[in-house]
Amino acid sequence: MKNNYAYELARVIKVVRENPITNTLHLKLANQKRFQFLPGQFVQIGIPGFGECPIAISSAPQDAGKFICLTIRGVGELTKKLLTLKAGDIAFVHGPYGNGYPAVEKNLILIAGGCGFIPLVSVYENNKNRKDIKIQILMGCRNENLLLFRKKMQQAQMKHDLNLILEETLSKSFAAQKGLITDLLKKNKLLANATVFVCGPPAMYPAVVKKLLELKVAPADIYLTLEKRMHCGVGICQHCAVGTKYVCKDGPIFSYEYLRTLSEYQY
Amino acid sequence: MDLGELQKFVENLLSDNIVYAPMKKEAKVFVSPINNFAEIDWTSELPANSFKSVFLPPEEILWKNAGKKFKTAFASKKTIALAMNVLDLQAFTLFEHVFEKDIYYQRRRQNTFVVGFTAGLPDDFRKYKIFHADYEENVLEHLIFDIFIEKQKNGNFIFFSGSEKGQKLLEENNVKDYEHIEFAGLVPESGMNPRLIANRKAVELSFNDKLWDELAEICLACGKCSVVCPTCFCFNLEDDPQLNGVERKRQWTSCFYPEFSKICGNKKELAEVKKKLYFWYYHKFVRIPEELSYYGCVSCMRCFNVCPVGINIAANLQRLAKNQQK
Ligand code: SF4
Ligand code: SF4
Repeated sequence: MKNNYAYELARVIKVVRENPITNTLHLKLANQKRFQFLPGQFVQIGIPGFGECPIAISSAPQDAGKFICLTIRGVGELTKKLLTLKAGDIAFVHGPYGNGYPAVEKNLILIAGGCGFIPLVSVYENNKNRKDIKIQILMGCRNENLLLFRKKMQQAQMKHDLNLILEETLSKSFAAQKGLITDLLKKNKLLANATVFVCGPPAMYPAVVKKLLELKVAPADIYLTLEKRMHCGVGICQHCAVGTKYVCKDGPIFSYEYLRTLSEYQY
Repeated sequence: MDLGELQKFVENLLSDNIVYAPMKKEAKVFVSPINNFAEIDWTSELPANSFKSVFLPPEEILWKNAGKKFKTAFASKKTIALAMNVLDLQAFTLFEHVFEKDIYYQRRRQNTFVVGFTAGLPDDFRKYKIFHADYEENVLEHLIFDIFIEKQKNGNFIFFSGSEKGQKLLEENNVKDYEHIEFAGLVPESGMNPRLIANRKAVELSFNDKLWDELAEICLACGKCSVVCPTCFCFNLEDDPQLNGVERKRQWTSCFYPEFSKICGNKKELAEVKKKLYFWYYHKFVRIPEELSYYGCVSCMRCFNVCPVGINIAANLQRLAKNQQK
């Protein structure tokens, strides 16, 4: 019987500073050669004494045999500690967990608020070279200093329809508008026949989903990533329950078709 | 088997196991470790606490870590849960499924014998005022146990085995006269118990029912109800730094505790008491039935008995069911 609470050692091979409070760790896992994941899946990363927390994988699935990236914002005790890791250090990782995003069969709209681009970047990387679908990205952020994945964003802006909106000041390096993510939904014509992946702070969801429904996007085409407290990662401890499902094992990605059956998600 | 023979059987078990059994203390019955046969209460009165901590200790060490070294901690002693009433057996049957793939639970279970007891099943159903299920003839077929003892009206005891392990223990103790009952799964052949379905319907879409606001007014969110509840198993994993490394511990928690749903940035999904209460009932009457087609509440009323403000789960269910029909 497998011990679900055991972890494996992972070596930090590179650290990229994304912004003053966010690092991307490139990790080599113990079983890296055999490691596979789907965009949207996450691992539990920890440091004994500080516990562990779920972090979405932000690298491309194609690179899974070589390394994975975890983009970590230092907001709590553990995540702040994780920001101090340097190349050569060891972290404790187990996973991957969760369902991941469904395969993309239509055009793709990615809507990201704040840190929300972290799991979406893996979806983007996985689909960016496809000729059979169009990709549109709507991204909202507080200010330019908090942007993540600048290089990837610059590339994406050249290749795809990337729209950035900032709440505070405008950006020097990116074409951006000022306002909220919902303003982008009002101003831009959305791709038709598309699946929409939304990821951001929970407070953003009601407004975004309402707008999408108004624009006649079907609930089954809208996917939200949920963040909940998590302990066991295997659907027992109950912290991450959503209705009759669990963020750790049935999520973190849920179709709005399912969520709208629950009283807390009826927007 | 008569009382004297039962005594001999139990005394054999006592000689090399830790035995937990119902025991009368003052006016109440409690599940406690016992040392001799005379301490055991055979009335099948429901103990104030349950057998939960025998199978899921309030705190256990999962592993120890020092530097890169990782050591799994499996600690368990030969244990017997003796004279478990049918409601606690149902809660245990639930645990057997919830923790089916949990290596710590399973290792402990290997070292534990479960011995059920009744002084008459239909009577128990009446006496316990069971609201989660209707009485069905073949109750025992849908319970997990190693041995089951039934006290008959004439004062004699009959034995059943529910597992190979149970059979072996009986044989070793020279109990030859017993019937074997094969576990027939959680769901009876006739389908899910109608009460299970009705209770689920009453709770599932009830979030806007006024009842929750009323309960939230009085509930202290103390969590006593979930601690005492035999089917509550929510837990935390916590790190405990020691001089020579770190211990990861699994500890009971409660959805009523403030930290339960806390995420980064101090945000809490279950900030309001109303949401906590609804989450609690939802787990028992909707989520568990959906996952396992089984009961998440076994009608023991321990939550009501410990609640400082008298929140009564049976009455609340009735009210939800009534409001839902409106
Ligand atoms: S015991 Fe009563 S007051 Fe305490 S949390 Fe439970 S329902 Fe609320
Ligand atoms: S009656 Fe209360 S304590 Fe007993 S199983 Fe149901 S919820 Fe738990």
